[in-house]
Amino acid sequence: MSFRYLLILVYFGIIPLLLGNLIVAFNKKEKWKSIGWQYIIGWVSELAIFHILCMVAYRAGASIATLGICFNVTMVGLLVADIIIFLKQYHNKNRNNFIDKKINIQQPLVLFVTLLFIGAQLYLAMEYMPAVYSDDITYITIVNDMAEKNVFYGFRLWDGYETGSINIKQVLTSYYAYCAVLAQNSSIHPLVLCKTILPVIYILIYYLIWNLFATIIFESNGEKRSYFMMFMSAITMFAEFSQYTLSKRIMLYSWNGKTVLFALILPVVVLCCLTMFEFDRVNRFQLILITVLSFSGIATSLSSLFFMPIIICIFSFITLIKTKKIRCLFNGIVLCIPNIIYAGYVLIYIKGAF
Amino acid sequence: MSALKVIHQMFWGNSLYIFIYMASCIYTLYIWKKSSIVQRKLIVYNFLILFGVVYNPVILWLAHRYIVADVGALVRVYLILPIYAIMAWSMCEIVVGLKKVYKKYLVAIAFLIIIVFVGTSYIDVGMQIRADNIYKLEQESLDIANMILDNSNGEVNILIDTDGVEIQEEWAKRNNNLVEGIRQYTSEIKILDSFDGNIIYNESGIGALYEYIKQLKKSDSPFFDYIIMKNNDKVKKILTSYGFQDIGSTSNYTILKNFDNLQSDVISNVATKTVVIDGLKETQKIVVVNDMHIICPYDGISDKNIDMLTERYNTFSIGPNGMPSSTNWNQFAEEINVYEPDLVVFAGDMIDYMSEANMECLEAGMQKIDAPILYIRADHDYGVFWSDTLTSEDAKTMQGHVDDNPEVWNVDMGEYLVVGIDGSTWELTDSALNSLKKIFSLDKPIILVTHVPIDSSIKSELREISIEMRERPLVWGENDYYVPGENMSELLQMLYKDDSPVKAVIAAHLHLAYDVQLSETVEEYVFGPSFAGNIGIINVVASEE
Repeated sequence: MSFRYLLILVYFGIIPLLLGNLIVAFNKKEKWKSIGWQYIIGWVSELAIFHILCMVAYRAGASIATLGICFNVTMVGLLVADIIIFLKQYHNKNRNNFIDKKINIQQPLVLFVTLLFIGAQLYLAMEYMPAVYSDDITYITIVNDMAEKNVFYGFRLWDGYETGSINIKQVLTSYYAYCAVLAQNSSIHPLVLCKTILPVIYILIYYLIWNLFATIIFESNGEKRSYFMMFMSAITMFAEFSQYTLSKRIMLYSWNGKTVLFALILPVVVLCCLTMFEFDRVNRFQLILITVLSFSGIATSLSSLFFMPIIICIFSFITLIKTKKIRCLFNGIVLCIPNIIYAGYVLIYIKGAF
Repeated sequence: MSALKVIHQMFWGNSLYIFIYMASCIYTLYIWKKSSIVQRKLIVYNFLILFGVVYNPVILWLAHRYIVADVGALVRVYLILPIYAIMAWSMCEIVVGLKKVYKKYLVAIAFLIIIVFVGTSYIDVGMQIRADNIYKLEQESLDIANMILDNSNGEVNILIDTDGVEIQEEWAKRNNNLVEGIRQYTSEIKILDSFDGNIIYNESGIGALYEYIKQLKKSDSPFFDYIIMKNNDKVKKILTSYGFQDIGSTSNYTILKNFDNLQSDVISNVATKTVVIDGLKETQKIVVVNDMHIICPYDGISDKNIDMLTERYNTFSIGPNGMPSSTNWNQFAEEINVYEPDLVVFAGDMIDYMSEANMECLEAGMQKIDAPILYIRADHDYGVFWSDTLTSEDAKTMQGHVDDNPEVWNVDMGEYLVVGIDGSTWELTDSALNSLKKIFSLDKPIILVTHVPIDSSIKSELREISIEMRERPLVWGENDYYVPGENMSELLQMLYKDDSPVKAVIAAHLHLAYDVQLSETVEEYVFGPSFAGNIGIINVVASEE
């Protein structure tokens, strides 16, 4: 394996795991400290940190390469902090076991079928060419132009000439810059990265999220979890509702931020709302986590500003019905604050821009 | 309702998953009592999104009116529904609820079959193609991009044949795989412009491409470094002869590097006309060159006329590139070939005056033209105005060395004739009139070529424009500078008749371009002078009937 692919492994393996450990350290409940949670939270944190750095870099007029260096330095700093915390936890023998003990292989045949479906999706993602159409194709061109030109996007898509102005999508979200930085740092062509490597990684993250979901809704029932994952993998592979269908997008359009938002980040938000978020009592961990989730959502698509508050408010409303505490609604709004603040920034930008 | 209808069509389309999903929703309500707190939260969340957002008429209306202009974008609301989870969960509960293992497997298999056959993602083979390369691009666009990148240093501009698909803001929606592939692969290659190869190769001819390239060169926009054209040996041969470098080719395209050797723009304006001939088997093209006024300075000129000649040289001989016609003529002749003419008509005044040098220059250029030439002479072609030594007889003899130099030209083009009147600055001779009468009686459509225009029988605009521009009515007509004698009057009557076989008249002389209706049925095209970079193209086409 060449060094460039090892770097991708670092960005999508080691960094999310260690970063997740840093965030999860704020959570007092041992229940949510499994390696799966740790990875997912670490990965969204990586996106959120990148987004903040990207906004600063854009304002400062930095290049994509400079942004990449800043991102790497920040990650190294956070990983050092994480290692210190890890050693401290280890010293105190307070470290949670990394192995998720709830994995229960009760149905080997069902597990085999599940792995067959997931394997088929991975194979298809690696071997087959996405039938790209519409504006989806323009996003990968944006990524390639940014990576090759080493600047924030300011080119006309259809002919490549400089425009002097940058599209609002590239100013207020950062997913294209994220792909460009990954491509630059790893020296992998954006087409290879976005059409082969990222889909494979995202498919794995996708099933990790739904496995966590199965763990939560079926708790210790291994049989139900196995069947659930089998049906999930089959539906994901074959479902074809529309051009917006998640299954197709996750396997084909990894360079489109909305794919990442709808297939990966919003399900994590739903998962957190189902489990970690206690709307009748907001704690420090919840605020950190929702900030991270909000910024990771915004990093991928501005539609996150609309959808994430809807999900949070609906769950706060559900808690209100259950607990009869009006405070739940207030807490729901509190958890929407990062999105509200960013929506304000968007409005100010638009007003200033026009 | 319309918004709801649109988003339903866009999200569910023809899929039956909506029924599975709805059945699953109902089933989750059925198992409510057995559900855990987390499961109940999920059920309520699903229904609140479904009826609180997706099917909420107020939100739909508000979103449609204030948030998204494109109703289709509302489909994204569906994406926060836990559709997959609800379906998988319901199926899982049904399967696990069965007591016997074989029943579980049977029902699970039945559910899997339903999922597979209701869905189409991987059944529809048109959705995906196996990638030939790691970039997952069409190999041809990759090959073309790599050929250009290997040949160039840094950024390049390209001109590309896109079959008429315009390269513009919505280019991605037009599914031009070649352009999209190149743009995805590299930012070093910029798409300067596109052209429609089909039109250029099959309809307008290579000359149209050549004209287009020259226009680009003249404009302020950056010039292209490479041209990507559909494989066409003929076009490639002509373009490479003008300095294009053949970089390579793929199965469908040829890549040519910019021509640096094209000296200048000697042909700067092409006036295109169309003449319709009934029963014509294939479209033909006639290139008209007139009033070139070639002057090879001071050759055979008496000393007393040098000042006069200098004045004429500056007035009648300097081309759009600042060079005299004697210098431009060779290249001019070569460029005529680019238009692939079936016939080239020299409509008089090709030289400014008779001299050996002028004739040598003219003949050298004529030899480069790869098409038959119909050359009618006019006063300047025979003129010995500024020579002390040459006589009119000498001039006729010298012109006779070029070709047969008949009084009346008659070129049979198959379904029609191109007829030229030599020396039309003078009254028509008896023999010329007789020849013309004979030709007119052949019952074939005629395109008539005359140096001096003929005045219209129905409008006076040509004489008026001539007076305005040239101070005299330099046309044939009763009240004009060229007053017709008996023979010319007879010819004019033959022309003006309703049943005249003449379909169009090609003329020159005025040093300006003008189209006029000669009679009810005949159109006259007066072309601008070629020394100023003008040529005419007559596309002779069949009638549509």
